[in-house]
Amino acid sequence: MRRINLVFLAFCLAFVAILSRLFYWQILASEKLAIEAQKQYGQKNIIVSLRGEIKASDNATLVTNQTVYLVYVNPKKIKITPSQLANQLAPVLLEDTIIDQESTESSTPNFDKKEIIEREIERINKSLSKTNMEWIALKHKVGKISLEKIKSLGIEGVDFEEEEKRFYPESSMAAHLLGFVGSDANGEDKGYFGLEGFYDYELKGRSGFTIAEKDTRGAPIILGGTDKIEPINGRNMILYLDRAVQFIVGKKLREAVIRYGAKEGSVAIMDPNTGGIIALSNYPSYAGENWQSFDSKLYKNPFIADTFEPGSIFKTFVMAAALNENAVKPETVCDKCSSPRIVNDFTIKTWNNKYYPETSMTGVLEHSDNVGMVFVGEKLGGEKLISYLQNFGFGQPTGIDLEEETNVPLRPKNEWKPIDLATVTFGQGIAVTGIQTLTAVAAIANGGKLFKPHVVARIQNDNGSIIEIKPKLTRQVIKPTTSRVLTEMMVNAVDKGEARFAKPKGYRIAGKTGTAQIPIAGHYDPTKTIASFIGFAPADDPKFVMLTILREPTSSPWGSETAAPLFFDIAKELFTYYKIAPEP
Amino acid sequence: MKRFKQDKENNKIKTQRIAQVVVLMAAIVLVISQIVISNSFSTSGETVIKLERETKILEEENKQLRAQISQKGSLCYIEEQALARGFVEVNNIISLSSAIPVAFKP
Repeated sequence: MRRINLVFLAFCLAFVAILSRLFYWQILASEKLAIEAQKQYGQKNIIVSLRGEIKASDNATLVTNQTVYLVYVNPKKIKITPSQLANQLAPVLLEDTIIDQESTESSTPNFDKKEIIEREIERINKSLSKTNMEWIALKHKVGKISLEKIKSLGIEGVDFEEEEKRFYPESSMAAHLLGFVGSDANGEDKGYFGLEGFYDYELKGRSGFTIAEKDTRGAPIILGGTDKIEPINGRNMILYLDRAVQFIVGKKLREAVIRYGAKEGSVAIMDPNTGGIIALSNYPSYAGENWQSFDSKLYKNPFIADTFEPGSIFKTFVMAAALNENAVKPETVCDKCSSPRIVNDFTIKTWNNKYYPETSMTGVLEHSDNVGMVFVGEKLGGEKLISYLQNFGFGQPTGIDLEEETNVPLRPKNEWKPIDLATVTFGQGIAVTGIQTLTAVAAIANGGKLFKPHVVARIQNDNGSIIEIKPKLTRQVIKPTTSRVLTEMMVNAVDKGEARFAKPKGYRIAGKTGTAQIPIAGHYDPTKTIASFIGFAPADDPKFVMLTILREPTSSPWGSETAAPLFFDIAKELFTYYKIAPEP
Repeated sequence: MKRFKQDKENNKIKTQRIAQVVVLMAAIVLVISQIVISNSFSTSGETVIKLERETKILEEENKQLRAQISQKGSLCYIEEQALARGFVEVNNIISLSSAIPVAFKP
């Protein structure tokens, strides 16, 4: 009987042990075991979402995607030494970089092919020294030609997987506007600068995945379970940008910077009726495809990220304010314009030290008369002047859909001294961006309406549906009648001003030249200037508003001899492109 | 009356037997079908993989062709080709405007 009891007890204990184990497997460890099992028979494939394309207004592609490859090694499968592997792979992995460097003029001047290959060998050796790793990434974004060469080397343990890379059919066109795609801290693609930076979330989309049961050879089991989350591709951006105009602008700007010996230059063109950016170019620039090869100082768009003292182009906005407030009329005579003016112990002179007694307001713009502008400012009054500057959008960001816009706020109202109010009338003592100035001129061109500048006109969803981005009217700054009167004064300034010789014949162009000195350490640099020209055409029904800026031109410091000819040079091409015939 | 009841009972048993046979036959047919279908599908995984690979290759080719079309249609490429073929920029454009109305003439 005792023996029976012992056997019974042993059975009970065994039963409890089995029950406990089953409880552990079925209840406690079920989730973990299910995942382990899933790993054995289930295959998870990430379906990478495609980054959205960026297109010009004619639907031509400016940025698209290209398949490239991530080359990696499995150190445990390598049959040769790490240094042998590095020596074989380095020249092939660097092939694309070497071709880019050799074909790009503005890249690193002291480019040494041998040195960069040696650096690459060192880098690969260092990566391969981590022997405990199962998987070591050697290089991202390797092109198809390089990949074929790697395959032909037949090195065991070297493998690859697909990635996406941005491809620019128009090469470096509008690079500052587009931005580029780099990697974030996790190695994921991320847009930087320009549109890529501003619309990164919309462009990148969301990846999906499939989980399917597989057999021992890795083939899917049709009757097995399958889970699928569809990827959502990034949205396509369709811009206001006209690539023909952008092409003209880029070419003319490059020629002008070289011709006038300028340090750099910017040109932007806007549609005055929508605020849409038709073209925006800076020189020097970079190529989005191989942005790493360029100096990082070139990445930001100087037209929206750099500020400058506008100089005489600013006179148009002060004159607009005074005309709108009826403080002056075009025929108002300046009775304080016969000699330099003294304000707060500072002497204000004209740019050429010539004075025009009894000059009209039209004459003030025509001669770009600083003393005349001080008169206008006094007639308008400080408070109204500051209020109009704010209404024109100065001192606040325009809200353009580009990542790196900067802004210098206007000084508080109580900090404006008489000398500040005097100098601001001719564009000194104030910092503005190119985009603020262009947007404000567009308001003069279109009858007084200040539009928010915009680069993207339409957004196309993955399913093909289109979201129209309507022009956003910020405010009415000046009356339409003021706009018409000022336009006539600006036409007169072009026809009779310093830049009249460069103007295309038969066209009515409203414009104003500017030559601003560059402030350095509390004073102005005596030799360096920023030459600029703002204007729009045809004056009576403007098709485009344009701002040209040349920094530190050496052939001549004056805007009338550098930035204005560049403006007219581009305008001539645009008249032909837009089929605008000259007046007989 | 008794005979009528017995006939009714017999018919009921007969119907039940027929139903049992039908169900059994159906079960056998379904089991066989499952075996046949499973067998035929079990080798289709390879075909699916092949088709998936083909789809991927075609998608990749499409992507490359789209990129090529974009590049060949790009303005810098067109300019390069035009210059290589001897085209030059036209600088002497003449605009033909309609004549000024007589009333405008001095």
